[in-house]
Amino acid sequence: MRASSSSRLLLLHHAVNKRMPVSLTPRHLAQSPRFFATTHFGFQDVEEGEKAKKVHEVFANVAGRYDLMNDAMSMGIHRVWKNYFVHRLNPQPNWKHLDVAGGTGDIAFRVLRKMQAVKGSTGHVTVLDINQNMLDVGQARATQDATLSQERLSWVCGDAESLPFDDQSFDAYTIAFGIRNCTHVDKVVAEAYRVLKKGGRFFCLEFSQVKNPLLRMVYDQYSFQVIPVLGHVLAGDWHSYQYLVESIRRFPRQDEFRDMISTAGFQGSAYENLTFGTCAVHCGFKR
Amino acid sequence: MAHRLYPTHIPTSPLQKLLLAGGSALMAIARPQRGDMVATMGETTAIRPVLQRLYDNMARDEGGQRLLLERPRITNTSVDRKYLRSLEEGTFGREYERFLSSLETSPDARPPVQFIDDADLVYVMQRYRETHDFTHVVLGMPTTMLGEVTVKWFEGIQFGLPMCVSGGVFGTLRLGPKHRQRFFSTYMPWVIKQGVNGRFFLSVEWEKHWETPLKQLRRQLNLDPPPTENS
Repeated sequence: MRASSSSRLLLLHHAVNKRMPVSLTPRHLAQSPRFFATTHFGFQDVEEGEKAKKVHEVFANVAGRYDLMNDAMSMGIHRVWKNYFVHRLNPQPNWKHLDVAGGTGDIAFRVLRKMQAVKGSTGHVTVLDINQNMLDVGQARATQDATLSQERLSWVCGDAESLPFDDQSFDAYTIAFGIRNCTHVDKVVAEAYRVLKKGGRFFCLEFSQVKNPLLRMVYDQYSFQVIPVLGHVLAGDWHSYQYLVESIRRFPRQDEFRDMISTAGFQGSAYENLTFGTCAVHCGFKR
Repeated sequence: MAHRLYPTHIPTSPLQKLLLAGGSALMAIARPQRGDMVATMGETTAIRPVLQRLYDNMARDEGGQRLLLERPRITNTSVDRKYLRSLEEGTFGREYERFLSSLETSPDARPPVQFIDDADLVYVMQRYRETHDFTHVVLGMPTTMLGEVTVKWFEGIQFGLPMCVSGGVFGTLRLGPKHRQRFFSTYMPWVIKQGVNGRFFLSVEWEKHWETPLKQLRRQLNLDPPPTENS
């Protein structure tokens, strides 16, 4: 018995150590032989209905530790990105602003503060998120912050692909680190166009592709080796953060996404890389 | 990295195991309620030679061979708590059920193994985790600091798992002076004897002993009853 179990183990030992490479190139939908529509959930191919459900689970799980993990993963740099994003957005004091996938409120609070800095401003910020857990965290943070005028914040649970708002009801639309989680990015951008007034602006902050091969190698190593470990140790959730680093690589390149924004009808669509393309600010204008 | 070998498997690179070992150790100290961190630390420090030795020990024993073949699990479904409650007082099964109830816990409360990259050795780790409570019951050690340290010493001696050995050492250091004194004078010599003389616990088919009186089971496993307060 002992001899055979040892040799069985030996065979197993060899099998386990045969390195099976994890593919980092996105699989194209066209290669999928399936009859029904599939999309991606990180590196998995899933049916479209599945993706929304799986993303929901991820954010229901991470909501409580979301801000802590953002600080840990980016070593605080996400705050710099968001500050710059809102600076480029240049919020006007009397705007009706919509922040989509705004969950815990990072962008909304920054926009509101800029509005409040101008005396007599009448601006208002609506935060929309598909996940109630994230909105709850955001609302809790808002009430604990005495510097924010609570009455100028609204919290709405809804779907970015089908916004519960009338046409042309907002001056500005932002979506930060949310769009890559949506099943149909083109629908999200189309909805953004619909709800924006004439003269309105669309601003998106999202993880993007690092062009420089050496930097990309370092970034990939950090992403795949360190981030899920951080997620497991800090938040008790390996899989949600594995999803995070995979979903970043599945999102369209900077120029592809810029073209999608133009396709939706926006004019002057452009992008700007931050931190070597780790993330990018995309914008478009409804003229 | 290898592909998934079992449903809960998360394949990890050597660097990730290192980061996990360090991170989980720090987090386990900072937040002792994170049972998953203790589990992670145990798994990432259980290097292949250690688990292989345990596997081979089990394979040398008739009962151990059966366990390795059949791979029984201790879960909420495989353990019938109602049946255990119906057993006579003083039986192993009755005392185990009492142990679970007093802690308001259940077999499923133990996290599944995730970071062992071997389809056979994973069972050794899983079996260790799932039978830890049995060790408590049969040694007669409560889940007090002193009891836990004593069990860790037993496991360290019998299994040599790095987490048990280091847990035993650091746990001893964290005992209050009175408890430490009692440990060195009474519990430590006792548990060393049990660890050395006692049957190899990983080969024990615990599930066949629900109805065995605890006293008899201890004799079968070559164990002494736990020291009383006065000894």
